Amino acid sequence: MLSPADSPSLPIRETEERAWRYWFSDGLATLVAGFTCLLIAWFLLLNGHKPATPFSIGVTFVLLGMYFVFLLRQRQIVEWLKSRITYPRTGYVRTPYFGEDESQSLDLTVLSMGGADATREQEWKRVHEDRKRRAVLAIVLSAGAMIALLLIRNPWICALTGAALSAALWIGARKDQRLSWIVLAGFPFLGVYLTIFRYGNAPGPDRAAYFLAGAGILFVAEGAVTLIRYLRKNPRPRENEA
Amino acid sequence: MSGNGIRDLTSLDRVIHEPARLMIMTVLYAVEEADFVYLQRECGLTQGNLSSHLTKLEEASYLTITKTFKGKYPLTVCKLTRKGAEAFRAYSEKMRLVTGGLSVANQNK
Repeated sequence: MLSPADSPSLPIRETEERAWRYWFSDGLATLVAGFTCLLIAWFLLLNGHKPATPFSIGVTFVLLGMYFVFLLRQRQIVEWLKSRITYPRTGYVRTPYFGEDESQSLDLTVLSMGGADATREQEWKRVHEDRKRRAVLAIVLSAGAMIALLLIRNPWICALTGAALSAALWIGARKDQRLSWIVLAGFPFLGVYLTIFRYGNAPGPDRAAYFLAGAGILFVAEGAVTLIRYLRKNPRPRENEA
Repeated sequence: MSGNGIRDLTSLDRVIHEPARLMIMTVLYAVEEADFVYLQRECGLTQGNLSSHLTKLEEASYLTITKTFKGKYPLTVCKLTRKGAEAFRAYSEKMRLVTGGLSVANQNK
């Protein structure tokens, strides 16, 4: 026998997930992540083994400043780009995850259930905990792979890092956003490429820099393809339509 | 539900019960806030239709409509009020009990 909790209900979770995926639908977040990776790679390569000159020190500071701006203000940069590209075309939405106060999103989840329907409340909690667990697992796997890349001097370390990062991205994002083959196949390919051309024997920071540069190119490519597709699908509305 | 059986259906919130407004409320309940264009795309409503339903929901104090700017782009941002969220929750609960009863009836047939 079916209980009331098993009966058809309003598609709240699906709507919330659609809003979450909408954040990635234009590729801008991926593009910005790609540029951040390229900045770090450039910074690491510049600070390699070359003798410091006033020019190189100046460039290093500029890059470091840009890197911190990108890292700390990543969401604001994406929002700024979206306000010019995405919102006029397909509209603006803010999911509970991007609330001004993080506790607010938690309150919303709890409030939205009202304590009356335990099954739905458990389902919501399960989804949020699953998302958090996957994110933590992906971060730990990525950090481990990058530390191994920095410390272990072996030709095959690049290939292993590529495979590990591909797995981490798949674990972290498989349910939330559609990952294209550019990223999923690109990371193992990048690792094998660096292994074949013996970048694995380079000093630790250089290995990491080459890898990050490759990762940045992959993310930029992925973001650019997604953005082009989005722009083709959603041309800018004329003034009188807006 | 108060336990009056079928008569409880008369206490359903008619402001929310209209399909277009139910769609709008569902979207706004699931997200923190959304603008006019997003709601229009999600719900598949015309500008005039959406506008009139939003006005009705605003009159019932179920949502707030704020005209703002994101960069140079003007936004009409809609957000559910606490009263709106509570009304939606109560409506959802009543409907779930009704459709739950329907599922049981279908199984017994």
